[in-house]
Parts: sequence; C-alpha cells; structure tokens
Amino acid sequence: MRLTNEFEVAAPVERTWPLLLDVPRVAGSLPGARLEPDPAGDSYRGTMKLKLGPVTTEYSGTARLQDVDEDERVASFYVQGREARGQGSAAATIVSRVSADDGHTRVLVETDLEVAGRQAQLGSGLMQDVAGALLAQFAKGLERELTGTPYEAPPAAREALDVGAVAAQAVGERALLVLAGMAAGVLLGRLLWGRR
Amino acid sequence: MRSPHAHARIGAVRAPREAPGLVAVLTSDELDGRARPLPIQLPHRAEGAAEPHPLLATGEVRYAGQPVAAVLAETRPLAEDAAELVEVEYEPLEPVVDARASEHELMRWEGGGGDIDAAFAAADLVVRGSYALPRLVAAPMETRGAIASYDGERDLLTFWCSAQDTHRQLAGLIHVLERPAESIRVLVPDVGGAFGSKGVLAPEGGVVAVAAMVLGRPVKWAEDRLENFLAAYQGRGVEADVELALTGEGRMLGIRAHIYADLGGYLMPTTAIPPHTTAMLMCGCYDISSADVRVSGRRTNKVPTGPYRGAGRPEAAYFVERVVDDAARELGVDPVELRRRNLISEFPHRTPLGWTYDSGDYELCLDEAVRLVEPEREAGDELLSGTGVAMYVERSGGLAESADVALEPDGRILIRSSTSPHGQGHDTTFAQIAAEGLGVELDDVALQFGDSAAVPSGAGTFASRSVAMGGSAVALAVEKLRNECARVAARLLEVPEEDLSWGPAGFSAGGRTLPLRAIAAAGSALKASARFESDLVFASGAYAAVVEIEPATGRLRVRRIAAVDDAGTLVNPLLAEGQVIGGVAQGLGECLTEEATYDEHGQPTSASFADYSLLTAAEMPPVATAFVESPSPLNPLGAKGIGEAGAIGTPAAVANAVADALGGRGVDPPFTEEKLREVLT
Repeated sequence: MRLTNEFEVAAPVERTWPLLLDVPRVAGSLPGARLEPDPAGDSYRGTMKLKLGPVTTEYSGTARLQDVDEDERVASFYVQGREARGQGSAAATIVSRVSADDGHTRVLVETDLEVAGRQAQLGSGLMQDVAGALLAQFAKGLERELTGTPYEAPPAAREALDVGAVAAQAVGERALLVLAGMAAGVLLGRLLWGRR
Repeated sequence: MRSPHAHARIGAVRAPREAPGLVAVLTSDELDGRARPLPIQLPHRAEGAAEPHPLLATGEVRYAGQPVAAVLAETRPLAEDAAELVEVEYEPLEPVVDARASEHELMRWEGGGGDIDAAFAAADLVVRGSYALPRLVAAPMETRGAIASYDGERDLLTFWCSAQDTHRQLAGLIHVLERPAESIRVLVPDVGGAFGSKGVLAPEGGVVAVAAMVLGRPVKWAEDRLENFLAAYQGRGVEADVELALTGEGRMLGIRAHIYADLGGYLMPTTAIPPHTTAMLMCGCYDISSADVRVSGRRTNKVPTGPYRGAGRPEAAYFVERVVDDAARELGVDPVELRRRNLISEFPHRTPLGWTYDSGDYELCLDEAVRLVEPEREAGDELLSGTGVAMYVERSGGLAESADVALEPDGRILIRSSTSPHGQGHDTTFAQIAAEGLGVELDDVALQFGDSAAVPSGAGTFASRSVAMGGSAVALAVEKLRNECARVAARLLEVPEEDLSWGPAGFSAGGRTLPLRAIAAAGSALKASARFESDLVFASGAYAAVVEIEPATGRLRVRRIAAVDDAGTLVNPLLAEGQVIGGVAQGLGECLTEEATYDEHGQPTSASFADYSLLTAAEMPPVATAFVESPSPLNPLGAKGIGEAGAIGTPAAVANAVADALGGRGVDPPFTEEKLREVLT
C-alpha cells in the first residue's frame, strides 16, 4: 500500500533536516514509539504501540536509515516489526523529501507499507486516514523538539499511541464510525465470549 | 492459528508449554499418519494438479488465513490468548495475486464440438470481448463450525456440523480419516445459510474430528466473522476472452472462449466444479452449432474458490450475454431481436459442448421479461439511463436422491429425505408433495433430515436440485406407500384392489371410505423407499434491468428488475418467488458493492463488513417476477431448479443495462462510482 502525506513544521529547513536524520530523537516525537541503538550495527531496535479502540497492538522490530541525499534533502528509512503477541507484521519504506517554504519546512512523506495479519485485514480502509493522523502528531512533536520544548506526551499516550483519539482529531466521521463499530464489535465479542 | 502471510515457508512452530486453560496445540506433525488432506473432485475430462488442501499447513502456506495450527483450550477466549503465544517462523515468499499472470495451473479443461474453424471462416462478423466477475464472499449469517465427539469403546465418531447436507461431510471424513462409513455419524442441525460455501468438509472440520479422537474429549470449533472472510472458500473470480462468430444477418455460428479462473492456493474438493460448469454452458440458450472452450484454472495466493450461489452459471450467463450485446451493437440490431433470431426452440437440444437441454420456452421468457421491465433509454446531461436483458440456462438436478416414507401408527406420514434444507423450505415443499400424493393434510406430514444414521443415501443439497431430485424421490416413495396402503385398504374393506377409488378422503369402495388414519390404526406398519436418479435438467430464464447513472458522480441506481424463470413445474410458487428475490439481491450485491479485494502482497483487504458491504433491503429496487412452466420430461414432478436463478440472471442483465446507459462502453462489476466515473471522463 502506497501512502502519500505532507506536513509543515514551523522551523527553517536547516534545523529540521538534521533532526529528521536523528532516528532516536525522531522516534521520540512519535507517541507510543521507543527506540534504542542496536549494538550490532547501524540500525535501531524498538517498539511501537498502537491502540485502535480497545485493541492494543505492540510491534517490536528495527528501524534503519537507508539512504540520505544531502543535496536534495531526501532521506529514506526502513522500518519493520512483528506483533509482540500474535502473528501480524508490518514493514515500511518511508521516503521523506524536505524543502524550504518561506522560513518553514515542508515535508513530503511517501510510504510503501506492507502490513500482514489482522491490522491489514480489518484496517485497510483506515490506513490512509491513520497514517495522516500519525504524521500530524509527529509534526507537532518535531516542532516542539525544534523549539526547545521537548514533547511531553500525557502518560497514557506515552504508553501507546491511541489511533482512535488521534484519528478523531484529524479524520472525521467515516473513520470514527468504523472505529466505533469495531470497538462495539470487539466489546460485544468480549462480553459474549469473555466470561472468564 | 492462521497464516498472516499470503505465501511463506514455515519454519519452526513453537507452542507455549503452558497457558491458562490450554489443552493442546496441534500442528501438521500431530496430524501426520492420522489424517490425509481433503479429497479432490474433478469434473468430467478435467485435468487437475495433485494439490489438495492440507488440514493444517505443511511446510508452506499459500494464503493469508490458511490454518497452520489448532490451539485447543477450555474456552474460545483462552484459546485465542494462547494462540498469541504460539510462535511460527515464516519466511515470506513472492505471492501471485493475478490469475492471468500465474504460471501455475491447478486445473485444465478443454471441450467443444462442431466445426469451429469453418464457423469462424464463414463468419461475416467476429465479436471479441474480455469480461470478468470479481471474487465474492458467500457471507452466510451463521459462520462455519463443527463439534466432534469420539466414543472409543464403540469406535464411533459423531460430528455435528453447520453444512448443506450430511453426505458430503461424511464422504470428506471417510477420506480424511480413512475410516469406514459405519464408524462416523454426521448430524446437520438447522443451518443459518450456506449459499454453496458449506457444501464439503472444511479443513478446520477435519482438524476438529482428529482433535476429538486424539484428545478423547469433545472438541468444538466455531469461526468468527474475520475467519469466515479469510478462510471460507469464496466464489467467482473468473474472467474470459470470448469470440462470437456471426453472419451479417445475426445468425450465431460459433463461440470460442478461454476462461481464466482464480482458484486460489489449493484444489479444495469442489474448486474445479464451477469453472467446468461455466465452460459447459458457454452456448447459453442459443442454437450455436460449434464451440471451442478452454479453462485455465490458475493457482494464486488467495483462499481457494468453490461453489457460491450460481457456481459457474452466473459466469457463463455473464460472458455469453455480454458478448451477445456487443454483437448486437456492432450489427446495429436490437439486442432482444438478435437473441430472438438465435434462441433454441426444439427440445431435447444437445449443445456442441455436450449437455442436453431437456425442455424450455426461451422466447416466451424473453418476451415476458421485456414486457415486465418497460425498457427506457435516455442520454441527458444530468442522467443517463439504459436497459439490459440477459438470458440464462441453468444446469440442475442430476445424480441421485432417496426418500423413506412411513405411515406412523398415529396416521401421520414420516418422511426421511436424503437432501436437507438450509433455508430452501424443504419442510414445506416435500410435505406438499407427500400430502398431495396421499391425500392428507400438510400437518399430517413430518420430515426428518440431517442425520446420516437415519436418512437414506443421496448426493446432497446443492445445484438447485432438491425438488427435482429429492422431491421426485419423495413423490415416488409416496406412490409406493399409497399402493401399499391400497393393498391394506382392499383387505380391510374386503373388496378387490381394482374396485378401490382414491380421493382426498382416502380409499373408497361401495360407499365406504377408509382414511389413511384408519389404515394406520389397523396396526399395519407401512413404509416405502425410493431412490430417484436422472440426467441433468436445465432451467432457464430471462432477466431485464433498467438502470440510471449520474454522470457527475458515477452513481448507479438500479430502477427495476424483471425476473422471468422457467423452473419446470413449480411445487410451491411462493417459495420459488422467494428464492428468485433472494438470488436477485445477491446478484445485485455482486453488481453494486461486493468484491473480495487483495492488495499486491495478497493480503485480504475487505475482511469485515465495513469493507465488504452487502446490500440491505433499502438498496433493493422493485423486482417483477413471472414464471413460465415447461415441465421437465426427466422426473415425475416435471421440476427443475430455482434456487440460484436470481443470482445467475441479475449480474448479466444489470451489466448490459449499464453498458447501454454508457452508450456501449462495457464495465465489469462491481459498478462502483469510481469505476463508472473513470469510464465517463
């Protein structure tokens, strides 16, 4: 699945670009994500927790800066992870193009996403919306990072990125309806089966 | 435990040593030597690969959702939790998603007759087209499930299952477990819908049976909706390149077709059946003297396909009727008129592909459909509208069914039928057949289905065959019972049998009447059995649709549908009409919204009702129905099949109406706004 998103950061490109290449700091701008360098080499190991309604999925895996073009200011990352519990997996090649725009920075993000398992089978209709919402959150985090007020996520958000809550701000009714439906379905399922 | 990948090699499977409520984790290793893969049924003259569906994946998974391991626990939630702890090493492999691009054939068939080369050489016009129907999900209200229990002392396996009949589940278990029929009892209770998707044993059903025997305790499996979307076999997923040769006057001379079927990862027992049916029906209802049809059933990394309401017939109707409309446009002839010039009118009619149509009145169906639909066509800036007609021939019946009929001591009639219902209304139609044959009230007839230990043998409930085959067996058994009763009546009334007259009240002679009740009360336990076997019977019909399209948005609205069906003699017109309306709804869903989609990695992307939308009553247009009754000469009732008719005629008629509204530009279903907008711009 190919996704294209664009966002703006209220900071000059000269400051944004180096930050984007600093993988652990970048990860810090994304609630729910934790990264640390892999002692083995040039990649990072970490976890990402997503909360979709009452269902929390934790992916653990690696992130790697794949390619950097300093002149064109294009960076590509490769991220892959597996569900910590369950059988799903996700992999993405993320290409970010950075350009200056009147003292601000525009970032064009092209993502080639491959999701296997439950999240793909149930959430494909939402993926575009969720990716947009994630990046909006990410952009805010970057801005705070750049303006020297590091992002302090509320405790719950530090635990897991609540896609439902993020999506609610950004994507509107359709996604919300589907999320509500899924949540209701899962809750009902738990009620019916969950007498334990 | 199902594969998250469409195609992968499986390495180690590590089960947790313990987890709350966990009883066992079974993989293909535990099944080794205990169970074989599912059987494969190949149609006449078809070649098939020896690639049956394993119960649990062995070394490789070929579709997302394929069963890899069975986790057994005290409750389903505990089993789900334990399943999350099972680790499977997958090494992803390149998936194949497009059937045409697949180099791996699972099934191949070629057939034809007549001098096809001469037909194309003599043709004034050859019309070519490529047409496709999407993969569909049967989406029964009740998902699949089974319970197995093994009695070691009696060596008896009892298997309860949501299925279309007991026979094919039993046959599947006999094959998979290599056990004799007497050691297995299959029970099919009331079923919440199947539409073809519960015909044969599911891999999971086989696992449940083995697990019950291994563990020595009852095992239950009931899938959730996601599993049903991922792993219940799907329907359609067929495309074809079709060529039709005609004279300048519009006489059809020959048809060529290459059918590509997206069969999925394995041959399930009936995967090869629908494409063969499509191929055999490629002459439709037309008197075409030559045909040459090839089927390439390709392997893809998707769940296998199998019969789904129509099972090959909607595909044939769609391919044939689309190319006929394209021909009419090229010839500048009214499509109804072109059809009329080519309809088969004499029966029996043997097509060049080798099936013999038993009876019909195709022109009457066509005329009636056109009359009922009230054709419209307009090409305004704000609204386009058009009318389409489509005809079909449906194979139904065939093979054999049986019935046991008994006069119970209380005077009631008990029928045990080999075909069992899952929504068709056997209880009503079979009771009607018996009540009419014996002159008793409907309430005096009781029916028993769905217990392999109690019902006689048969083929099962599929292919719109229950009334023609099972109903005929009931009719024959009832006739035998009546003769038995007559013998007893003659004795009781002390008259010779030939002096008896038979009426609704019972047997009469010399002013005295003896109802069946009295015969039963005389203490005579009377019973009769019959087995009925026949060649295929061929139902037919004509459908017509009027649609409108809003060019600005691509929005399609089906204004109305006319459905004219000839299913031979109808036993119960109300149930027949209900079948037609239900079929129309499913056929319309296929046109408007339904499509099982996969991404380029073979991941299913429409695995919930949020993404796979079924029609609701609100989207149903008015449907005008009518019946033509051309009795079949092949069975005592004169009956044919009606269960799939609506799903067969509707997609082709709506597609032709859409092409008509679009000024001849053809589109394949589903007719989404996106697709229609693309054509319009």
